[in-house]
Amino acid sequence: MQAKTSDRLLGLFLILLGVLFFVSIIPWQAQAADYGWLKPRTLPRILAVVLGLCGLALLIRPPGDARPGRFYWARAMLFAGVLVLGLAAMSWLGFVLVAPPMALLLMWLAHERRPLWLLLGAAGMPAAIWFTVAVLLDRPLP
Amino acid sequence: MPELSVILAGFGDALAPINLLFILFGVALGQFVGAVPGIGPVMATAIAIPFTFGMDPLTGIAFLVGVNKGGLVGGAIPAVLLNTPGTPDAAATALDGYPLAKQGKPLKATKMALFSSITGDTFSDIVLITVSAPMAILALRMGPVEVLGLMLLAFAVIAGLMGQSLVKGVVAIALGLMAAMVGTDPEHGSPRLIFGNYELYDGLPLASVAIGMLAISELLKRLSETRGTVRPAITLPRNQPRADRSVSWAEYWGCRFTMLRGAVIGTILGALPGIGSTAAAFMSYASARQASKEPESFGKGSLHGIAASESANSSVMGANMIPMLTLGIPGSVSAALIISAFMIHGIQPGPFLFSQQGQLVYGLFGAMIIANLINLWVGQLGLRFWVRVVSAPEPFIFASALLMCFVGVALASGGLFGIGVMLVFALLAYVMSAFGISVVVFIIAFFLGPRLEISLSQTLALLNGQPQKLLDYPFALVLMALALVTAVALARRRDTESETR
Amino acid sequence: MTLRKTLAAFAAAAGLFVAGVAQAEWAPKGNLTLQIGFGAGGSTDTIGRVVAKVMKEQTGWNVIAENKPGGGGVAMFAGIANRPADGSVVGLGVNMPILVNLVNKPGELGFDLDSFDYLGTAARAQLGLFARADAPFDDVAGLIEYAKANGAAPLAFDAKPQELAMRQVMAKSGAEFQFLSTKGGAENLKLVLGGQAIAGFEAGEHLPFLESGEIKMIASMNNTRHNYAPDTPTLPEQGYDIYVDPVFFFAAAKGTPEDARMALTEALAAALDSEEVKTVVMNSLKSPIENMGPEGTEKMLRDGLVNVGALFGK
Repeated sequence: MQAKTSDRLLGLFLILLGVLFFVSIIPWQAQAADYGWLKPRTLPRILAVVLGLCGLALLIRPPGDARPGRFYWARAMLFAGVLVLGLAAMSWLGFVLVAPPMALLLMWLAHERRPLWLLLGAAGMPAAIWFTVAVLLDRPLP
Repeated sequence: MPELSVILAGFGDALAPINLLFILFGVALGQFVGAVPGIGPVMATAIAIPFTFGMDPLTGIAFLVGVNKGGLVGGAIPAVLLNTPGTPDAAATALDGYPLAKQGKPLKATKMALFSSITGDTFSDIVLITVSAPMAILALRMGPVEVLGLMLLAFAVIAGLMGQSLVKGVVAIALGLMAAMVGTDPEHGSPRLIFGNYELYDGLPLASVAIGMLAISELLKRLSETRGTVRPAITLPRNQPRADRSVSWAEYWGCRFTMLRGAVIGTILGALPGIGSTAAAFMSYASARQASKEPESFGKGSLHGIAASESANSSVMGANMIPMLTLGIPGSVSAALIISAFMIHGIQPGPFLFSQQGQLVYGLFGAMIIANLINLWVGQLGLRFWVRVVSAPEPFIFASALLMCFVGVALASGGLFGIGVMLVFALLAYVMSAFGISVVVFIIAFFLGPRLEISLSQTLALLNGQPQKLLDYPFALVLMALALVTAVALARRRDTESETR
Repeated sequence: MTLRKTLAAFAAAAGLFVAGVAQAEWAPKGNLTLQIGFGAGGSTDTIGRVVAKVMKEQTGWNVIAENKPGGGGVAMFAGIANRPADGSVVGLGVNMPILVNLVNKPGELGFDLDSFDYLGTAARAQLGLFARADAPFDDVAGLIEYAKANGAAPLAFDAKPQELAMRQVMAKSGAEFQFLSTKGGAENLKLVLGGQAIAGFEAGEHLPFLESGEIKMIASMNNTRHNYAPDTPTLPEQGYDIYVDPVFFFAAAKGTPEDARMALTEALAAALDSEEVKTVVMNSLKSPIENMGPEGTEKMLRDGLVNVGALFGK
């Protein structure tokens, strides 16, 4: 993707975001007030307008300084997916059960194959965290 | 000012073996905990408070001060070594610290951070000890309108700092401020943009947003770049020449003006409650770059960049104690936690503190100075330890850091909801950096947003619909004019830069 | 550690044992979290932390104090109402912001007075209106005169009830006030001392400054005079029939098992009855401990809802 094209798309997105906030989200999620100088909706509305105007500026004069194509999106989303799944599993099984497989999976995906390091990361580190937080500090782990 | 005998007795108390021991323990704990990704000085102080209940007041408070000061030094370590700052003020240190570490000079980078942090801290402690009374009066004179002017100036300076496109800088500010609008609004106390999540009444959890955007998104990016061969997270060349391992006196002394400027900025902003160390660190960084003869060296591992940021963010803490001790007004969350420790020990900060508890106050001052010396000593040892740790393989370091961020954020914001927010903002930051929108500017706007809105609200109430009343606030007008001039100058310079590029 | 302290520690350990026997039926699984509906450093925070500390010593439970600020306690109570009623979380808040929100935004908060089991109260806050000592007035009438002479008078407030009360004064007297919204009593004090606000509301942070003569009291905002300033009349006594009566109270989620509720109520009552809590609360609020018990707390809130509704014209 050309840098200028991506900036134009970003501009379009920001215009839509600004309009969406101004017309729908702010009236829905911020209360109207009948007195006062800085009402709950005042500053959010100003920001929505600013976002929309910036979007317009990007559409007209894209600076072309970013190249999103150079990011490894698929791999980054893979790792993000592991984290999200880990969070979901933690809400169900708790940190102690989820942390070792999560750490193992992350290291495996990052091409670590040496058993010693895998063991250290998947067993040693979670155990150290558990000992510090749950035993020494007496705080609940997630 | 109490009598000399009281002052000396106070300093003497600080030297009691039990106090020295607990300062040492506090500093070591703070440095260690502060260096762990996902946990910062505020968390460390909050966890440490219950342990002080059984202690004498001075011992307990000296311990907390030690934890706090240790945490400030420790916080720079992950920022420099991994580019994963846990707090936004350390993000300014990462701008130059990480490039220097990546060049194979992690020890030099962390040492510069340590030295400038302690220099700034000592400066503001001396200001606190010698002239806290006049500084407190100055802080009182700075009303809502002046604070608003200062906030606008901070925004103007910081906006000129990041990225290449001015429009995208404004986008980052607007998005960050919009995120800051989540929670109850300052004038009417009604919930805003919370989408039915009662956890968001007090706004998005600060730790989740900061750690998600600064640390997790960087870890995701680095993980996505891993290839077949496993590398250490940081390479430490063998038989490195001494010049690359340490900071020479000439290099330190060469940064004296940068550090002095940083310390002055940090001390002034720290004495004003509610503005905080993030603005101080970035204002100092930006002005150091402005003043530099080689501005292009910034962002590529400049020692001046590290010195500017660390001297400023560390000097905020000592200055925070000025309104805290003299007026009982906490300047930051850490200061508020220390006040609550004072109150539990039956000590009320305020006008009588110096006359009624003079010995205790000077004991505390003594403890602060001792803590700085211990910080320097423990820091030297700790840095070597952390540099060694971080030379472990990337996958191990990144996975461990992710686990620690999960736990740290859950502790700070009370559970899984905070982790969820952290992941959402990590993804947002990843997308933003791909499209060239500065994550750091977003974070600064997010942290300053609530104070900006409340100062704006107070200012509008004071003006009462009559703009000409602004003329009653000449100093605020000067600040606002300065903000305007800065913004215009930066926009112009950027225009010419982008045309020549 | 001195001998006296060592003895005190032993006494506390012994007390722990006795209390442990007395309440053997129930103990929290894991930690007991005492949530505080305000940020660190204020009067609610101080009460919460000292109660948590003493409770931990007396019961042996791992009691953790945690700040949950936002909306004057609304955020914290909404959280408590929506969590399982297992007795592992107790909230400490102030009645006024809760009642005012319930009156003004019924059905929008995620809870109502039926969402909780009430455990007791800690104390009554003495809220007052204060001005700098050199202000050219000494009472509300003088403040109104000053506001009329100067076009308007800026007041610093940190909670909605304070603003609404003064809006009533404004409507009745015809004077105009400018309302500066702040983040707490300490900031109100800063604005008053710095001269940016002509008067501000305080409920504890101001006491050293009152003693040192830097500020003076204009009115008690409670319906009684303050015990440390018996000569300053209340707002109703000064001709405006409106007052606020902030009380610090403890509550847990509705449906907490009987044994847990009893144990928590007893543990709180025992902590509030200790010398240490009494001293710290007296120091920071100048108010004595006042525990109304579970029924008394619920009645105080239900009566309060009616009163607040009437006061704010709903």
